Amino acid sequence: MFIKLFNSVKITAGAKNAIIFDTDNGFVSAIPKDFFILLSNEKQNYTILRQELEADDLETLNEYIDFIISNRLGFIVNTQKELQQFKNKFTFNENPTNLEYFILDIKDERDIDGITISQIQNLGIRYLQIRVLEQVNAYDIINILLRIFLLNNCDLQEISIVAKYDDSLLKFIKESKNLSSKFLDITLHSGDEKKLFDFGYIRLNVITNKISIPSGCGCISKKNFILSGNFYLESKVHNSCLYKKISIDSDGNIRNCPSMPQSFGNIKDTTLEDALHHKDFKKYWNITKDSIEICKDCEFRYICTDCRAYTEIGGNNIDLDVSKPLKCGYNPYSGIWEDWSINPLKKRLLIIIP
Amino acid sequence: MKKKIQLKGIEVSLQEWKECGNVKAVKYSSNSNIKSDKTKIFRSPKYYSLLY
Repeated sequence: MFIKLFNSVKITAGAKNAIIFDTDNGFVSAIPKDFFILLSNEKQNYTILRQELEADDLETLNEYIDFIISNRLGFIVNTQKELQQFKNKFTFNENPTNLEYFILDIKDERDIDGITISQIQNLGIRYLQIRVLEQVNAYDIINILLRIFLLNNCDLQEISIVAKYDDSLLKFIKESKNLSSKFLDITLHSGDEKKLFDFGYIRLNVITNKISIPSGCGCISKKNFILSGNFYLESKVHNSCLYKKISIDSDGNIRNCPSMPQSFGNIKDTTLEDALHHKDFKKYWNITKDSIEICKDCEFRYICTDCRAYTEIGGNNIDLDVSKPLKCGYNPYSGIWEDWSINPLKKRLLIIIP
Repeated sequence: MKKKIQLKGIEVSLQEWKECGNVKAVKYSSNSNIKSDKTKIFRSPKYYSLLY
């Protein structure tokens, strides 16, 4: 008797714990590392194993098998010949464009200009996030939203907008019917209470968190895990944050992300395509969690988003930073989550980082 | 074909996608088409940035 996990079900082991998750339905659970070892060997014959075990261990093994069946994570196969009929087909669907994600930090509506828009179009960018700096007032944010229609002819699939909450801004968005022909995902931070609205092509999320742009980025937590098959596969071969991402910070500097230290020129005199072809632009694109210190021993490494901007040795002038993300409070060696922001060593580093 | 899909745990409708060899020529529907049975919206499969 053999156990065959469904194609969408993946297992990952860390230094102390292991997890099993289903990329189709978002199921995720910790499993004992012993169980991980059994599941890793697809040719494990459970009939033979059962005969070899003591009564206590047999009960544990039966619990393991029942866990898989009752949670619909896999099924029983009777023979090895039958097992071989099920092929593992799970391939990363690569987007044909050179860039997919574009983050634009802005302080007024003039930052959404014709030159930037034509470059978004020409580079075939799919996802755009406009992050409005927190000091921008509601009147100016509305003026920014009124320029979003200029992106209608781009091939964007979605535009994400992050701005500071204001009652007048919420009222404006609620009453606006034709801001864009694109799907808009708007997050208003620093609100009084959490609210979620769905206006058809606009999803509006009001949150109470205060967000500082760009320094508030890089927060790693359980709620930010992504249980998608393609993300899992991308994480195994590429950097889960920076791969195919480009950005312009609020001063017009082109970077991998607005918080990264290296600039590849300013949008006033450098095109996004020129920046893309800079020898260092893609240096982090293939740095996976398997090569990042501490993360490589973490069971969440393929469902977690990396951060190369805020790291535990950040601020140091090094060629390739593979240290752990600073704003992650998980210790894979103890299996304990802690609040990273009250860790005295991390607080000290946060002060050093500009 | 199913009319609804589940992405990142949030149910969304899908925006129209025309099969096309040239990726730059792929166009998406306007708002007026969103409620059509043929329309599809694909939302970002990963986070743009980790702000909270």
